Amino acid sequence: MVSFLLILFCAIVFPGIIAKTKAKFSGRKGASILQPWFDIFKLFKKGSIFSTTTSIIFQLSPIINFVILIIAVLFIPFGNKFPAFIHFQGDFLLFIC
Amino acid sequence: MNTVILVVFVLSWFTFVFSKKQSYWYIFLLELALWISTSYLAINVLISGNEYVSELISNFYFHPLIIKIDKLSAFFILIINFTSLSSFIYAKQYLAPYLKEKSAFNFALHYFNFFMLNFAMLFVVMLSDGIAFLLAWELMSLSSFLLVIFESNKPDIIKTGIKYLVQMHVGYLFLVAGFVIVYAVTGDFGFEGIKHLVEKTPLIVGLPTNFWIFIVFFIGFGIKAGFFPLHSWLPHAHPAAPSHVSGLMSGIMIKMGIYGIIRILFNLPELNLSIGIFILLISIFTGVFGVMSAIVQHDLKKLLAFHSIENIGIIGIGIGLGVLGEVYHQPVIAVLGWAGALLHILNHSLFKSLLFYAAGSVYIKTHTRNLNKLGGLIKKMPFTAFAFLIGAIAISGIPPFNGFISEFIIYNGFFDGIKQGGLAFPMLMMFGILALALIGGLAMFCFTKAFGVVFLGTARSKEAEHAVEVAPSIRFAEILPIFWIIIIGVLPVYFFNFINSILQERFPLFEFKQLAISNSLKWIGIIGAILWLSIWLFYVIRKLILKRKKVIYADTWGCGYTAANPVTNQYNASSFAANFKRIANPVFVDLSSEITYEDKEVFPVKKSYKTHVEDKVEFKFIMPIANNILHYVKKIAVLQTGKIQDYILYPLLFIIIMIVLTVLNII
Repeated sequence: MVSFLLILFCAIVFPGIIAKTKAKFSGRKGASILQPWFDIFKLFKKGSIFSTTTSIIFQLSPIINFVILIIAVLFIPFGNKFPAFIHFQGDFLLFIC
Repeated sequence: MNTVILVVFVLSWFTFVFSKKQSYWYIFLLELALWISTSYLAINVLISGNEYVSELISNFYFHPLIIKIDKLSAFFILIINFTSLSSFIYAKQYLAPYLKEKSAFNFALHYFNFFMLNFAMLFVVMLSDGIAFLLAWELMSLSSFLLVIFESNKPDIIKTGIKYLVQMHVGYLFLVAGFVIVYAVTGDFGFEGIKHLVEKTPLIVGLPTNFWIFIVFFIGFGIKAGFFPLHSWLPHAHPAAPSHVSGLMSGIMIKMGIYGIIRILFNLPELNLSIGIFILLISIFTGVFGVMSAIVQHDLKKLLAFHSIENIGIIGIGIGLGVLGEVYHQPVIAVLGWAGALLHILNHSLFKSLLFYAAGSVYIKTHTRNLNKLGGLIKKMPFTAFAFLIGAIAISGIPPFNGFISEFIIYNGFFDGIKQGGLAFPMLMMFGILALALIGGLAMFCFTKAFGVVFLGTARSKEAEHAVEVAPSIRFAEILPIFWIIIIGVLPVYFFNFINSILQERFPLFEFKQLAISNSLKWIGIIGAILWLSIWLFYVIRKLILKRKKVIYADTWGCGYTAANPVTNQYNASSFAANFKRIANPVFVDLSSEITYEDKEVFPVKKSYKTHVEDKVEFKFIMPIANNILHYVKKIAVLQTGKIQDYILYPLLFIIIMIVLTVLNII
């Protein structure tokens, strides 16, 4: 459980930290650490444009991708003391697939 | 039950008196009786655990004809019946376009042979006596041959059919040879005789006799199953046959070869290391070869046929692992190998028949199997696309579908094997893992291509543009396998236990409950369920969010320019596989043409480009032998003069020679 929360936490702040560090090194002030999240909220307010060539697969695949990432996170252990949320023999095969 | 089977067999001969539509329902009734009676026997055997032995006919060629159902046979009976059921439901609407051009006799013959194929397959798994088994085997080959050549007005199809028939008989010859050898050694003609083979005979060319006997049987059964390099009938017969027949043949008939191999292995008194290594290596070759050839195909059904070869390879890898586990006295590995192989037989029969049905639906609505003429069908035929997608994901071995489960079990067996000591054994195991991973990855690549080119993008021909969804009965036939694919994916542990109950006969002392993998499978099922639920949940959330927003539909590459052609601006079957083709060149013979530009060609004229690949085994290995035989056969044909006087002369000469030889006391 610890690893799960930790990974979620990292996902929230890491891209921001990277952007901030890059900005500092090139002498700029840089955006806030939480800037990626502001972007996401902004994007949620927008509509969509779909190509007429595309189909339901095009709309479904981001969802499936996201869900699979979340589930994959459940498998990642954090050090020796905190085992992964779900673990069994051969679990990494499922993780890879 | 025995009477039902016999009565149904006799009644089936009356199919020919019925009209086109009546014959379907007539055979359907008979099939129903056959399915119910045999499935009842099979389920009884599986539940009670006792073998069912009964005398069907007391005097059949001077032998009693005895049917014997053990758990392995029962397992196969259930798969055969299920696949035939979905296939027969599918057949009705699939054959509807042929109602005008074909006669009532053609239809009756087709349905009759369908029944016979089902009947023969059931008997192949129920008989253990050699002669009766060989008869059933021959009936299976003949009826499937007649099913393949349904569209016999096309010359190509007759040619393919005969190719199939000839290869089946080469296999048959090896089976007869195998049984005769066993008879000569033990005095028992049939599978029972194999049990009495004792390891007292000397080594032949450094390998035990059992190995060579196994090889003879392996060639016989392997031609049916499609093991490399005996597979060359498969990629021709499947595209030629009507799709429900392809589904039935690929789904279950080629498994009869596997059944034979398993039966031989179960009956051999002692398994050798050489047998295990042989199966493992040849299966790895089969799998990798099958999937590599599949990727470069343009014909949708040919692509699927090569995938059958690949899956036979995976099943063989499982069997090889099982044998190796037994040879090294590692019951856990052996059980995992056998269980993976058996479960993959079930899984493959489900998703491969589903894929062939979907491909057939595409074919009847567009009249083409060429991938480069299809495209964009997901909008015209949403259900077919969905069915094909499920099949494609399942066959690529991706969770949460059934293909993953069986591969997972085999993988686990290999990983267990690595932990064992020694050098040779872990090396073999690692080789197996690598091969399985390669096969899985390439299969995924291939089905991305197949699904993407056929169902996504824009239509590449008028036929594809005007396609419509197939009839409800076809959709129902596709739902049947889809149901089990999802169920096995979500509740794998029950099916694993089911397979284990079959293996209990083989490993009576082994405790199946101690397998750690049951726990893993439980979790895989739970995760599969979570996956389904959360995808659904997120889809609903997304719908809700988008509800209040502006959604626009516009052309790809539109950008204000109206003459863009989305048809030519997309990947096609050749370009998708072009890079792969360069790497995989040693596997096949490339007959593609090349485009060249001349120096002075300032304004290039219109050029055409053709891609075509041939199977290397067939091209370099089988065709030369066949051509050589033809060469000599033609020389003998000198005797065929066409004059009746000559033909009368031959028997006369024969009689004279006989008399002379007898007088001289030579014979």
